[in-house]
Amino acid sequence: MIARIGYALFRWGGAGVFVLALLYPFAAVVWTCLADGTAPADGWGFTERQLSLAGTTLKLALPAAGLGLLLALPVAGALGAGRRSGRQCLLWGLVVCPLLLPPNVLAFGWARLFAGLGWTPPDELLCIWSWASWLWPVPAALVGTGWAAAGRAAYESALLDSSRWRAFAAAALPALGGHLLAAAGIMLVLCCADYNVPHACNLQVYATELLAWATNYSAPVNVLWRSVPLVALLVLLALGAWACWRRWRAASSVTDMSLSLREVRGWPAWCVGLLLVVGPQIGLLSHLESPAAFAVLGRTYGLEITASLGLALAGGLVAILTGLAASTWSRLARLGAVLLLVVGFLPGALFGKALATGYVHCPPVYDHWPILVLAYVGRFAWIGVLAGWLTRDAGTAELERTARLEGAGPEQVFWRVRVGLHWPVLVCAWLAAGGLCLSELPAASQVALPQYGLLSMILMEKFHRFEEQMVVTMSLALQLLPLSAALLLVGILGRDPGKR
Amino acid sequence: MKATGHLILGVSVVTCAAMLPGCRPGPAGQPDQADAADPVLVYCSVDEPFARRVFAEFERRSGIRVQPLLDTEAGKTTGLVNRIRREAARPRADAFWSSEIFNTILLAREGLLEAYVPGTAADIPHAYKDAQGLWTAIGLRGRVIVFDAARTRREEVPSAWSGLAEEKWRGRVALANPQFGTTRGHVASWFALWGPERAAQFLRDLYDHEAIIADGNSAVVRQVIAGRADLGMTDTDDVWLARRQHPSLDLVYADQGDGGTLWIPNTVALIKGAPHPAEARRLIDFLVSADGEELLARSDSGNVPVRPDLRARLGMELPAAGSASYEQIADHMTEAISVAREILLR
Repeated sequence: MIARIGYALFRWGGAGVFVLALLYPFAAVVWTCLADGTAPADGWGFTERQLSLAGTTLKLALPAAGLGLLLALPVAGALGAGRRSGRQCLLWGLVVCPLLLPPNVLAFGWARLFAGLGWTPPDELLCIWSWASWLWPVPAALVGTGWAAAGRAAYESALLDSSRWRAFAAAALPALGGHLLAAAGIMLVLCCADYNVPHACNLQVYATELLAWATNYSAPVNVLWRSVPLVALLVLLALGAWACWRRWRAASSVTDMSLSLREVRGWPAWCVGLLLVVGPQIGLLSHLESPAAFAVLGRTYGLEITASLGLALAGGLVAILTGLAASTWSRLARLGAVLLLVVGFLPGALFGKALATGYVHCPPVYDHWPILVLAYVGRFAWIGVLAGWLTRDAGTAELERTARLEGAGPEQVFWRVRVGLHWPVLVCAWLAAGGLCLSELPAASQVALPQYGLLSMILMEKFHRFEEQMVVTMSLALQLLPLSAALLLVGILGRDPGKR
Repeated sequence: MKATGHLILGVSVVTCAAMLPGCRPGPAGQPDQADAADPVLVYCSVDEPFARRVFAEFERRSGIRVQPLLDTEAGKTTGLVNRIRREAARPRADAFWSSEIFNTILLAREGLLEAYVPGTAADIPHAYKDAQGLWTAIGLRGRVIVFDAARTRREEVPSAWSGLAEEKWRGRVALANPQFGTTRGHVASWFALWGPERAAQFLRDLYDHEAIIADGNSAVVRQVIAGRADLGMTDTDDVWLARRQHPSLDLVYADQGDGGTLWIPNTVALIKGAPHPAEARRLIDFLVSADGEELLARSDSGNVPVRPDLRARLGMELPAAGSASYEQIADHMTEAISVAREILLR
């Protein structure tokens, strides 16, 4: 009975949050624009500068996606080859780590590491490298999964009558094409919508300009209209990635990731993975003058650290639960889940503006933490949707069917199979969403509350004020907690792999 | 999986319970009934570490709690100003402490500020106080040309702003986006001083000579540090802060064309319909007092006091100020931004 009530509450609660976080704010912002009847400050056309910023965004995002793919390949090969073992779990943990880290912190770390080596990279290069070192886990996981599912078998068959390279090019690559394109698409979307890394690299892209518009113009039409090119680009990329993913799923019937035909050498994967995770930490640590700086940080910003972590964890949890609930909706309502995905790709500045416009006359939300949680939900519920779909399609369909035949209700199937068997995936998704919430700036800055100083904003302020020790300690602190959580998760996962 | 069901149920109940304290709406169009124990809420665009110290000192002296909502470099002062506008029907903020003056004047003209003449501001010169008592100004920052003395000799740096548009500086001058921050007021000051035609021509020259538009004043300084630009238009405090890491940075108090520099003060104002007006007035009294201004002068920003005697006591000099009044500059703001956008951001 409790399971049924919990399930109903969970689904309806998800629907409620969906309306509060997405439908209502965007309806409000569109209504306000229509009611105001004002044109954007610089007209309906797009200026040369705006188009040039959009071009710059793509110019940086495309090589970052390409580099991310290249960096991911050794890890993807190792992930797709090995048995589920303690070492494999550790490798998965390594893959999850960068996604939990605030991307601007990676940029700060790399800049300091390179400076320590006597090299100051151009800002563009630093931005591309930081994006790639943040997002390589996306292709690593996707391509690794594809390699285990189809690419490897095709490659092994082709090896019988051709050389290694030819077999890889002729058989494995076509089988992995969907994964590669989907991964590149996701990376492009995330790079194009990202504010943090270009800002930390002193670069202006479309997302940085958009935040300036959102902040400096009262009329929401300014940011709504200016978002159109970026949104169109992001939706196109997301649809492309989605189509690739669907095509692959239709073509591939094998989803067992524990296939082990022949051991792939693991050391290149470990070297690349460790370098990408540890590199920025070394850069930051090399600039830490004294560990006592952490005490100063704790004394000065203890409350802000606590509030930011609490809000990020709460926001991440509600985002994952909302996305998970959306993934259980009926066929028609799946449109909602797709909407969550699309909204997740919207520029944060637009989303923050929509929330501020929608809730300014609603004190219980506008004046308190719910508005920040709604901001996080809107931005990161897509991770919950993906996690929900992953748990649905993760090779337990047969088990679900059997359970249903034996009289189990949908709530029992949901709790026992999808949540019960796949909780590590959901916890990973929660941590990843929490990590992103912790570094979220564009939406949160539009709905900032005096009660909760957010670390993402304070860190940027410190960067602008040239407060080196604060930037270093705050960056390290921002990484310490997500990394500890990831290690904890890996420990749990690796404890008894035979059970899963 | 009963435990999971319980967990979800528990999380839902706790979330709803936690949201309940927030459900305390006031009547439409009116501020909430203020609680005596509520802190005074200040929208503040002054640097965070300094603001914290000042508020802590005020709390120690008065026993009144202060809750600041600080701006971000991304949002700058204009972000807070737009928030005040957005909340006009039900103001949340009690006071506004801005790091510049032009937006405050615009808020005053829009009727969003309440008149209050602090007793502690009696020794502040009239040029730094609104005639109706809608705002009071303290602690000045200058608009300056920043350069890296390791690369550019001081003698080469133009002594007047108009020199930045010369051919020899093609692609080597950086300025912040003129729609935002103090650069906005600076551009408007050229319109006030030089007239629209000459000011527009200057902006066209900057554009033709490929001036770099940066994300903000601190980003301008970073452009100079990185060697992408030789000269940058910025505020004094951005240079002082950057010099801690880059001692070779230097600055020139450039001539506006009338023999003076543009000095932009901090402003403090009471919000119309503030939920805690009495506490806000006490805070304003403190902020604009000589003690408050001295704290500002001694901060990392190194703001120059508006009080001549305080300047003398602290040994700070105020290079000559330009002849355009703040009100005159504010008059040209809308036109200047529109023209600057058309020329520099096309």
